[in-house]
Amino acid sequence: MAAAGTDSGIEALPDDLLVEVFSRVGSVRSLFVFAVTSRRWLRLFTDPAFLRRLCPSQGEGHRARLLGFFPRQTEPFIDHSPRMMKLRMVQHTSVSPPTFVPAPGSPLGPTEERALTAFVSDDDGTFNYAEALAMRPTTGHLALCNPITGERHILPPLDCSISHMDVNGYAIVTAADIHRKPRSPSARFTFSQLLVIIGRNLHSYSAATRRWHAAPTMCLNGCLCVVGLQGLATVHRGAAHWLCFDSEAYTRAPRDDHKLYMVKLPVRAGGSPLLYVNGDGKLSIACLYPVHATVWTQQKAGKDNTWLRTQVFRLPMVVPNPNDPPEMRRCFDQWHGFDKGSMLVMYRCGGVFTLDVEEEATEKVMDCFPSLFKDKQLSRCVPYEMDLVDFFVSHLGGRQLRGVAEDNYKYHALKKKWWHIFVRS
Amino acid sequence: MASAGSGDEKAAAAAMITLISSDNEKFEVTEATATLSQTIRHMIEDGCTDGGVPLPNVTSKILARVIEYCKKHATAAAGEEGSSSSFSDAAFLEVDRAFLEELEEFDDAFLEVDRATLFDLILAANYLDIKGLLNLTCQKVADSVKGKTPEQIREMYNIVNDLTPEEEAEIRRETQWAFE
Repeated sequence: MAAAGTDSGIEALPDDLLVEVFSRVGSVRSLFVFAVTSRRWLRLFTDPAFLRRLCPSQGEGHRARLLGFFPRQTEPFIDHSPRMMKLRMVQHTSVSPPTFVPAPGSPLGPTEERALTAFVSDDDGTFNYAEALAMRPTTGHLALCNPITGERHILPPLDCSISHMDVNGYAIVTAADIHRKPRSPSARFTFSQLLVIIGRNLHSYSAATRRWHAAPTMCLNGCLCVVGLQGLATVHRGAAHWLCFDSEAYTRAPRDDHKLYMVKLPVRAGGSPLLYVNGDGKLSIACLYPVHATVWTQQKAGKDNTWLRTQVFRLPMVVPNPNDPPEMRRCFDQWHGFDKGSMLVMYRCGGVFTLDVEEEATEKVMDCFPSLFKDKQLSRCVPYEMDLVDFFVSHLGGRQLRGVAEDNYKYHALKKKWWHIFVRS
Repeated sequence: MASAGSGDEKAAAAAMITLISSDNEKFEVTEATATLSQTIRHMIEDGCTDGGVPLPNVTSKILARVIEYCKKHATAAAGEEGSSSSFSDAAFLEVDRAFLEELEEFDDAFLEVDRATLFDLILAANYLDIKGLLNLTCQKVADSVKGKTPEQIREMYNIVNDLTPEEEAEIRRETQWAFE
């Protein structure tokens, strides 16, 4: 340790203590500013080991980090008809943007609920009445925003003949998902395409042309339904994958360069099935039952339809907390897939847990916030997740690390959900 | 230390520990004060504090401040323990709140030091492993740099900018959103 008193200052602090200081700043934006202060600090903010200590994960081995939730905002039976919405806009009645509830220890701040506009500028009231896209239905007004960088994209309204349509699925495709070798590492996070399944039709929007593709494609036929509460697709090697089911069996419907594939899966899927990309970069389906889980893995990428059951394991039991009110204990499990086989289960006995499929281990992240239960029967939360270590390294480490860690970038580039979609009413 | 039986516990609580700073100044403190430092607590548990505890990384000026902090927080901790057994719940909460308010005021005043002292306190808190003091001092520095520009931070803490203008421009371009 440097002799105290002679050359004291922030420069005299060893890396261990800079972690202590930086981790108390509570602003990702400020951390990026620190990185251009000096060469030593830039090196620290591109060092994965340092960053992992700065943004402690919810458990070792999980690369997925839960940053917080977007709880349901509007009353369940609000009239979304264009006439009523216009009236509200004019009268400025009960206008409020959606809120965000940070998870404990989230770098997006302390745990109190805050408006989305604390992260994304909203001078013109764009996000009033906005809801996370998973809170279907939509009226065709969509916007994308990134709470970390404050970027926002307001999309031109989608021409829906019916004003009130169900969103059955969506995928946010970044530059990295399309080009295997993006121009610069940070370009991997550049928004490039939005795919939305509204009703039975697939609509695609291109960020480059700022237009919706003229003709929607019929993608769900018969009595097919997209699985999962959110309909968020798994983007893998440039294709968006949704898991669907009909009355007989589960079916996968990937989209590949305007070509749609529907393949009947030769797997016995049940419970709550979740499609994800595993640590080896292969598509997998985890079927989560109350007590156990089975995992099916696709053997070869592309149109190959060979799936093997690769894992069966017991889920660790979760005992209800006797102090919780009964309505909290009654809530059903809500599963969400994170990248690399990390899952999030909400409301399991009133708590939020992560499940690492590869490790076959669950870990409690937090007790549920009372605010997540505002209207218990109808409430839904969209978890917001991102790998901050990867985010820092790719934005700041491009110059020094280019070439060296190229393989690593490709590996991580494929499974990003950087964007959250909001429905503008 | 080996013979410390149950009867000696009261005496042990009042036992004094001698801390020796890097410039050889001696400080007599109670064991309750000294054990706020995990480093010293371990030394006491291992029975190797006879003849004083040398602290070659801490000057007498800084050690005096650290002891001031530990004394205050040790009394607060002892006060809480005492009150929990002899007051009703409501009275306990009242006392508890008064303690916390007083401690907060103490902490605020304690942090009114120049920057060099602040960083010396961080180093000492880390070396002596005093969680509360480390949290307090690091939070103070974190608050001082939050929301500042790189230029302001360099000026505030005498950091030499050893990045080339091209490098700095490139990083700023990549992370433009952070500077808006």
